[in-house]
Amino acid sequence: MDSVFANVFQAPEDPILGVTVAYNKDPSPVKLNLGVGAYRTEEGKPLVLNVVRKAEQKLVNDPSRVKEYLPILGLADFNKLTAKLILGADSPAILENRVATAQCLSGTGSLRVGAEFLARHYHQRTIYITVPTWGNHTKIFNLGGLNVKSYRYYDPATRGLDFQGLLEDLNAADAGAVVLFHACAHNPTGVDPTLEQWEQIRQLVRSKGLLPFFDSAYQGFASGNLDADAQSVRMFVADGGECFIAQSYAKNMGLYGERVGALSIVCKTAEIASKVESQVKLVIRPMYSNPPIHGASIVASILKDRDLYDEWTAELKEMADRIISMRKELFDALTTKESAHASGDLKLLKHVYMLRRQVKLSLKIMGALDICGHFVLITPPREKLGGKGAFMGEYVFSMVGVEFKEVREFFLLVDDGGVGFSGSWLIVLGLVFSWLVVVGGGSTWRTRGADSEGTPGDWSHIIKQIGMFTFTGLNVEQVKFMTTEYHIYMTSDGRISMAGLSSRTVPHLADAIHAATTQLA
Amino acid sequence: MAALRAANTISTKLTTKTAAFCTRSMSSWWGHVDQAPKDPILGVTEAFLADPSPSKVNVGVGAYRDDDGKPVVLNCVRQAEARIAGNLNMEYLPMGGSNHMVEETLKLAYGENSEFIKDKRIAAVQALSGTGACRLFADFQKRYQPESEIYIPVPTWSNHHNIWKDANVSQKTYHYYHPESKGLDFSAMMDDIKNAPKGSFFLLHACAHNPTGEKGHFPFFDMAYQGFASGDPERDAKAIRIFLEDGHLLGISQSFAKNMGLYGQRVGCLSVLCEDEKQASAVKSRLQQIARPMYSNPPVHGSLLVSVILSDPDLKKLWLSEVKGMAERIIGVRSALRDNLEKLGSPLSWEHITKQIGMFCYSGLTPEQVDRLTREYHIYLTRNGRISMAGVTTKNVEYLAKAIHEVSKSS
Repeated sequence: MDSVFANVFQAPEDPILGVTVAYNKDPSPVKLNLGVGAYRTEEGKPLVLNVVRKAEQKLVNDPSRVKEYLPILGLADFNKLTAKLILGADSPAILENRVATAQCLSGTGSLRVGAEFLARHYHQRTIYITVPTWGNHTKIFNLGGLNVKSYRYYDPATRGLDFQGLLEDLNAADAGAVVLFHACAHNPTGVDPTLEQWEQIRQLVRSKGLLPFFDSAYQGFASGNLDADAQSVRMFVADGGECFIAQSYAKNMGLYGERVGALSIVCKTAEIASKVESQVKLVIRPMYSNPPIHGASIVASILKDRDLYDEWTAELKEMADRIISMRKELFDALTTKESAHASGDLKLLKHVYMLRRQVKLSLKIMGALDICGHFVLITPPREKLGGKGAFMGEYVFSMVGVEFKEVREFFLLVDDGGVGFSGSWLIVLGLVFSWLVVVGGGSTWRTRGADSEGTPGDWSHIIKQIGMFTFTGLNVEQVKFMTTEYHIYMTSDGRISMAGLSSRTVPHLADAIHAATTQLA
Repeated sequence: MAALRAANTISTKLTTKTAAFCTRSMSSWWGHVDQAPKDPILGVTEAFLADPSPSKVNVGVGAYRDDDGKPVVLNCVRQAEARIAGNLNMEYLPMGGSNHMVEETLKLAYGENSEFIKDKRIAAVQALSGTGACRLFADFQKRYQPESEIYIPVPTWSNHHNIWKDANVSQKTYHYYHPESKGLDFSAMMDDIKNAPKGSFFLLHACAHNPTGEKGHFPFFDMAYQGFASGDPERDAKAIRIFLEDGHLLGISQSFAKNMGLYGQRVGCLSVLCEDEKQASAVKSRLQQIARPMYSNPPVHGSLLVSVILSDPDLKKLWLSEVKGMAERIIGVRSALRDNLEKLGSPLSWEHITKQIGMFCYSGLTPEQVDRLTREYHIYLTRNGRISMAGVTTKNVEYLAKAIHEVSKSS
C-alpha cells in the first residue's frame, strides 16, 4: 500500500543536539564535548544536585502523594514561587496579583506558549531577536506564529556588546513589536549589558512602546547570585510596565530532562492578568493538556523550605564558581608562557593518538582493510615471515591500538614468501618508525614554539563573558579543524560550553585553539 | 566637571521618573482579551473542588478512583519509582524521547513479535501523553499532507477538535454514536467513510468497532485506554491488529495516563507505520523537528517508570494484574448502576451502561438534566452527559442512580 508520507525526506541533525550525536560516535580517547549546555563536574560527569536528590527522595517516600493530572496551568505552589524567584517576593506586580503564571515545559515550552499567545492576542506579529541567539529561538517563534526580525547585539571586533547598534536597531523597530532579551548570561555569546546599559534599553523600549520578552534560562549561573541575575527583569517590572518572562530550571537546578519552567505575563491590572491566564489555558490544552508533575514538585519543595533553598543556592554558587574558574584557566592557558603545555599523560596520549593516525594512513597505502575501525592486515602465517620483524610490527601496531590479524591462507597472487612479502614488511616498519620521528619531533617543536609566544590574539573575552558559554570567535573552518584534528565538539558558531571543561582538559582545548588559530588564521 | 556630573545624574533621574510616569499612564496591551470559557472537562473538576457539599460526586474527568473514591498509584509504579529515585541523572532525553521506553511501548500496540518492529518500519517518538502525541501528529499531517482533512467522530473527546484546529488542519466529522440506540451508528459511519475524499485522515478510538475494508484513507488511532476496556491489553489492541493484518499503514497515539496511572507525568508515544525502514527514519526525524520548537525533548521521569515496568517481567506481570483489577471494578460498577436504575423502576432503557466499554458511559442525559444533577444533587459530569465510571463506587452508586432517575423519569 502506498504511504501518504512517501514525500517525507530525512531531516538534518539539530545543530546543537546533533553535536552530542557526533561526539558519541567518536572513538577517540581524548574527545571533548563542549556542545550542549549541560553542566558537568570537574570529572566530566553530569550532576544531580544533592538538594534535588533529597527533595526527590522525600516525594518518593511520601505515600500520600498521587500522580493525578495537574491543572492546565500547572502546580499552583510552583507557579507562585517561580514568579517570586525572578521578580522578588516584594515585587509590586506580585503583591498586586498582576502576574499570570503558567508552568510550562522548561524554557522552550514557555517561549512557545508565549509566542502562540502573542500571535493570537497581540496587535503586532513581529519579534526581534539578537544576532546571534540560541539556535532554537527562530523556529519556536516562527512555529508559534510570529515573524522574526533581528537586532544587532554581538560585535565580533570587540567580542563584546554592540551597544550602539542595539540602540539604533531597537529605535528603528516596528512600532509595538516584541523584543526578546536574554535576562542574563546571553546564549551563545556570554555578553551581557551592564546595569547602566539595561537602564538605557529599558527607557528606549518603554518610550517606543515595544513589548519585552525575557528568556531567563541561567538565573543564578551568571554571577552565582539569584537576585543579581534577575536585575534586568526587575528593572523593567519596577517601572510598572508589562512584559513576558520565560524561566527554566534546566540548568540552575540541574533538572534538564524533567522539563520544568514557567511563562509569566506581567500585566497592568489583576483583572487583565486573570483574563490573560484563562486564554493561556486555551493555548496549552490542545498542545499537551497539562504539564508534567515530577520536576515541578521537586522545585516547589525546594523553594518553599528555607533549609533546602539555602542548600540550593550554595550548590548553585559552586557550579557558577567552577565555571568562572574554568574561564580563568583557559584564559591563562592561552596567554601565558606556560601555555599549551599539556599535562604529562595527556601529552603522551596525544602523541600516541597522532602516531596512530599516521600509522593508519600508511596502512591504508599498504592496502590494509578497514574493518569496523580495526585495520586488518592479511599476511601469510607467521612462520613464513621473518620472525623478529613480524613481532616488532605487531608490537608497534598494538601500541597505537591498531589490531593486527594474521590469516592462515594467503589469498593474494604473490609468491610464497620471497621478495614479495617479507620485503613489504620492512617497508611498513620503516614507514612506521619514520613517522614516529617526524611526528614526535614535529609536535615537540610545535609545542616549544607555542611556549614562548602564547596563542595569538586577545582572549580577554573569555573572562569577560558571562554564564555557561564562551563565544570563542572561531570561524566555521577552525571549528571543523578542532573537531577533526583534536576531537573537540562544539557548535559551528564557535560557542563552547565552559561547563564541559575541567582542569584536566583545559590544556587540550588550549592546544586545539592555538593550532586552529595559527594554522587557519 | 562636578557640575556636569550632577547635571547628568539629575537628568538621568528625571528621565527615569518620566519614563516611569509614561509607562504607568500607558494602557495595557491586553485590555481587549476576553475571559476564556472554562475547559468543558477540566472545568468540571474545578467546580467540584469548589463545592462544599458532603455528598458531592465527581464523575467528570476520566481519572481512575478506587472504591473509596481515592486516586490510585499502582503498586508497580511505586516499586519502579523506588528503584529509580536517586540512581540516575536528569540529563536531557533525545528529542524523540527514550528509545527504550518507545521500544517497549510499541510492543504493547503492535504485538510482542511484530514484524513491523523487527523490520524497523515504525517511526515512533515519546510524546506528552495522548494529547501530545495527537498534537505532534496533527502538526505533521499539516506539514506533509497540507490539503488533507481530519475526520473526527461525533462525539469525541472535546480536545480532539482543539488539537487539529490549532494545527490548522481542516476538520470534518463522521457519524459514530447513535443517540437512539445509544450504540454504534454503523451504517452511517460506513457511508461517511465511503463518501470521504480519498486520502482523508480518520481519527479512530482504538478500543472501538472496526470499519474494515475501506482503503485510501489514513487511520489514526487514539489509544488512551489499552487494558481498561476488557482488562486485557492484547484484546484491547484487536482493532489495530486487524487493520495491520489488512495491510493498512496507520498512526497510533498511546497514553500511559490511565492504564499506568501516570496521568500527571505526561508520558505517551506517537507512532507512524511506514513502508520501509528508510521512510520510518525520515518520518521520525521530521517528528523530532516538530517537537524541538515545542518543548525540545520530553520529560524523563515518567518514561523511566514505563521502561522499568515494561522491561521487568515481574513488574510487568504486576502491572497487568493491576490493570485487570481496575477494569473489573469498572465493569462491576457498570452493572451496579444499571441494576440500581432498573430497580428504581426507571421507564428508560439503561442497557447501554453495560454494553458500552471503557471508562466512560454516554448516559443520554440532556445538558439541562446534567445541570439539574449538578445543582440539586452536587453530581459533577460534563454537559454532554458523559459519566466517568471510574468515579462511581459501591458507596455512591445508589445515590447516583437515584439522582439520575429523578432528573430523567419524566423524559
